[in-house]
Amino acid sequence: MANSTPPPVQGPLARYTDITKERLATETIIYDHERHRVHCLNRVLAFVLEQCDGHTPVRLMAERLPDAMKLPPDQDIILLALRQLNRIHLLTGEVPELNSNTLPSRRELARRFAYVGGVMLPAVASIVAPTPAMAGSRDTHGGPENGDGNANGDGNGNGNGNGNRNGNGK
Amino acid sequence: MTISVRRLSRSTRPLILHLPEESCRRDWRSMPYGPIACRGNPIAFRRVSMTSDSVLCHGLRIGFRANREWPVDSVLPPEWRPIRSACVDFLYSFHFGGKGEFSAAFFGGEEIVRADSVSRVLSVAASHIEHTVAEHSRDFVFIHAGVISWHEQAILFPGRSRSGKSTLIRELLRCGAVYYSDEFAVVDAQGRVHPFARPLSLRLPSGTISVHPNQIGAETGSQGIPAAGVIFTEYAANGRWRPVFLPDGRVFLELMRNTIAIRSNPARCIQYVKSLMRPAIGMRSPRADAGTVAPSILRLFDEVTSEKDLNNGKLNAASGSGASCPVYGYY
Repeated sequence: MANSTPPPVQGPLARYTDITKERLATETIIYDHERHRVHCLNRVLAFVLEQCDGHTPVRLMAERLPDAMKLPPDQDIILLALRQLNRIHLLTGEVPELNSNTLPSRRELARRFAYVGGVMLPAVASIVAPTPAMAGSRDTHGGPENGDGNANGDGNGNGNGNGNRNGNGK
Repeated sequence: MTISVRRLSRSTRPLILHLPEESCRRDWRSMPYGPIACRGNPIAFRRVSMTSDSVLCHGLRIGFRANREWPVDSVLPPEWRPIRSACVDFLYSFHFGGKGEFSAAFFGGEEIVRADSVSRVLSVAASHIEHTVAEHSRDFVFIHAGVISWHEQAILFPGRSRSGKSTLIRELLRCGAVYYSDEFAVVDAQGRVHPFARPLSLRLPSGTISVHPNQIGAETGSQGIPAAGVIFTEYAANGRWRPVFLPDGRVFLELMRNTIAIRSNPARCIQYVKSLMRPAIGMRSPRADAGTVAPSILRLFDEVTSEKDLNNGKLNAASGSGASCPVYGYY
């Protein structure tokens, strides 16, 4: 009789429920049905999300970076992406690697990889999906723009930017 | 179109309020009507007797009933036609009071407005119906944006109320554009934009006025057209028209921000908006006076269109249409 026990989780696992995903030319749009947020993931972040199948460790993801994204095989890039994905609730379960206190900041990475261009670092922009009244009146909503993937508006014009906005690599 | 009323006897049985879901399942025209208590005041609804008592508007069937004759088209959004439908998606009821009495409008079983002035009731009801259609339309996705047609391609101007959208649309019409809407871009599954051609609503210091496109010599569009561009622009006192291209993802997010039904049906909205964006480019710029910037916008799209013709498809946004449109970087 075949063993039906699933293999143990060895790497980060993406969330597959309550989201709608749509791929554009260079970006990926994700709608979070639970939180009514719309996220726009850049190419690198979308790539990392795709790798989060629960069986791919961070090290292996990093090794795939040169072929897939033409980026150096640096685990810090993956960790930065995972941190962003975790922050916008697109990962399930714990990611032990993110508990480390030595995680690099986006600024550090941008400096370190300046030669490949800041735009290649993982990035996400998010908005709060408006209610019909908010979208219709347009007088009372509009979260802030963000360049680091963790600033979210609450739909009432009050931004909750809880991350740095300094990571544009420029 | 006018709804007439058949007088019923005073012995009409008490009314059961009908919720929209109920009206979908039952023939709402045969539902009993009669006096109901509304915040302690009895209101009499009576059977609407004309056959054209329901309309089809952007794929939604809407039923109307009232206690006297009234012009139902005064509250309807553009692009509707009368139908004979036993079931409707939404039901509006109107009570028109006599002299010194209040009037009221109801959405299903819920009172949406009560006022002494009939015009106030109709105005609020019209706005409610417009938003109901925008949120629940089965065939279209509504985006809060002004829309014009230029060379049979749509240009969208999403933006906040009071950001100068209608004023800009008026100036573009004066330059020869065809009017589609100053409120909603109505997008179908193929990404074509359909007209929502209610009169332009212009805010003046003295109040809001309605201007029909004919009054400024503009034509009104009548069919769905593909989108050429999405422009995010807002009046600023010292604003200078310097458009920069936006990446697709950013345009997508900004359109989502203005999509009425994004919360109720995100998957469909995302699909429709993606179709809308396929042939379109997005750009952003502050602007000064609408009268001076309108010709620049149309000239820009002339250049964009010619470049698209050369490229046999979508414009490469990175190359833009010249130095005036550098790449917009947000990462």
